[in-house]
Amino acid sequence: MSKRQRGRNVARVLGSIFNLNGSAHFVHWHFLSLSVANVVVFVLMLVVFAAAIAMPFPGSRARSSKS
Amino acid sequence: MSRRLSNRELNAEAARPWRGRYKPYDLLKELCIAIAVVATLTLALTILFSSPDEKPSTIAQWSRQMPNDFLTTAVAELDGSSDTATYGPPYNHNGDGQHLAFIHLQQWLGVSHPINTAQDFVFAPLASVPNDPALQSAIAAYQAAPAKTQAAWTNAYTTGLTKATSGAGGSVRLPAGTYGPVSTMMSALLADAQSGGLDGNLLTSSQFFQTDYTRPLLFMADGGLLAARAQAQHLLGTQWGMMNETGSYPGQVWLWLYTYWYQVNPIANSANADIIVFAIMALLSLGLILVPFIPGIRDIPRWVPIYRLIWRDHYREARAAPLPRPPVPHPPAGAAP
Amino acid sequence: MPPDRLLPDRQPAYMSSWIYIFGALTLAALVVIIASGVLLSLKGPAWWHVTSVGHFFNSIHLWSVELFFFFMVIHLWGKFWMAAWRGGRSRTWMSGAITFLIAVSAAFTGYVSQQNFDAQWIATQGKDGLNSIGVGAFFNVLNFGQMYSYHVLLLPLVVVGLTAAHVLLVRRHGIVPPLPLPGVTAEDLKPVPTPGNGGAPVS
Repeated sequence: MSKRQRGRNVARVLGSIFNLNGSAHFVHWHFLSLSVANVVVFVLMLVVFAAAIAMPFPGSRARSSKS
Repeated sequence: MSRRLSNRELNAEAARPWRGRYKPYDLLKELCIAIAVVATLTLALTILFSSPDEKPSTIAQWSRQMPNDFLTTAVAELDGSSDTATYGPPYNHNGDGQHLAFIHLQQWLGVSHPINTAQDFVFAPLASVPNDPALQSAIAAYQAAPAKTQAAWTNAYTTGLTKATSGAGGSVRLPAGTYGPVSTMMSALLADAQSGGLDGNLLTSSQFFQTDYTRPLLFMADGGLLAARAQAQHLLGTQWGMMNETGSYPGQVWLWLYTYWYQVNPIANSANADIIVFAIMALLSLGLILVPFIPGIRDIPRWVPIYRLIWRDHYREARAAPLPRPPVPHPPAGAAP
Repeated sequence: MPPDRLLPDRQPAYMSSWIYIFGALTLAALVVIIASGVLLSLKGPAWWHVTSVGHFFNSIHLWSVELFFFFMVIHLWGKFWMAAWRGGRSRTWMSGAITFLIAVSAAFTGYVSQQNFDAQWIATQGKDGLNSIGVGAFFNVLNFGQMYSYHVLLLPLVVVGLTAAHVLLVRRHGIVPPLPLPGVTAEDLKPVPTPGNGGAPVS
């Protein structure tokens, strides 16, 4: 691999796969106007919170040393 | 009849040392795994999406792209009618600033960054334009004229700008009118701005090394370029802008409640909107900090039993093998029985 | 605090839910924020605009901030629904809430230190809010030098100090035990005399 090719590969990794610099999309509902990105973050938070509470935790039934 | 546990009883129970089962737990290992997970997630997000970096606006760009808006702003700085000129503290005494009932914090903290818009944004930069005796005599003529005459000139110029036509290369052609020396001054300021000289002039006006962008930013913010760019990116206060980022990036989602109040009409349209919103958020933030002490709020977790899901393993175990009642603490040695 | 309280090797068995990892995830995100911030400060505030390596580390810094607030809010939600302030743990809750608010200010100083259009807009808008309460008289968001100093030194010191206090309080008081189920009464929780102390309750 030439030095230039290595440099280009590094630049490609340091760049980004998805370009989010274009104009944003928005979700409009009554008086709410939220960017899709923010809605995704908020929904993800709710999903992760719900999953954290609902998912079984490993070793929960295992017996362990008493106090 | 059993009654609901009081807050005091709940606290006493929660303060007792745990008498039930323990399990081995390596906190350091947990933290190391967490750091590895977060570092990996961050790296993945970086490689997938990078980060936004919209180039800043300059006064040169503003004056070339929107010369009419630039001149309208410049003459408003000259005649003291711009937002900065009438702002009040901390920039000048030409406005009362915002207040909430009798609380005038903006006024009480005073003028700490004095700005005289006519002097700082017009006369000082023009004074540094070399080899232009016509300009210097125009400035002298303006400064020597009575206030009423100055106002007549600037009002005529402002009205003339509404009927002006834009020419090639960012030029502006006003209809004939009685503008006095204002026309010469504004043309020179426009040329200085379009050449890039005004960006530097406003920044280094007091000393060579600068890190304070107050003057160029206030001047630009008085005009329409920053707001036009912001509106295109949904960053205006009335567009839930405080939460948003340029492009399609996620913004500051945690500011959702702060920005919400700027969409609510009696507040959003008020001249004191900022201090009102701040007061509401200060109160709510205090409420967040003091949750443990607020009856009702601190009881919500008991009323909405999400805790039964969180601790379902514990409750299942406790049903099978209930813990005995807590022992009375032993009296200290030598105490009377 | 004795070492086995500071770094215990066991925890109560009721600590068996994924919700408990979000404090550690928040702390981990803070570590990545500070590490990437240190790297950015090594080459100065203009670096990330002119090289792709600099831009890369700026992206790490931005996304670790997003993750920091993401995990911190879920941690806050979990602690609220657990009523984790019980049993003398109110200072733990309060220090956490204050850390959140100071972190928002620290992020704000970062946004106005970006030296790009976003920084120009946020600064010229943010100044109105801060001026309205008089804070703008001594905290000038249009002054890049001042904002950068707050961002890389003063506010990180406060955030780290508050976080340390918060974690120490957690270690001091232990993880809050589960809420008693609705059927549990005060009689069930009343201490019983045990052989050895004469059967007399101590107030």
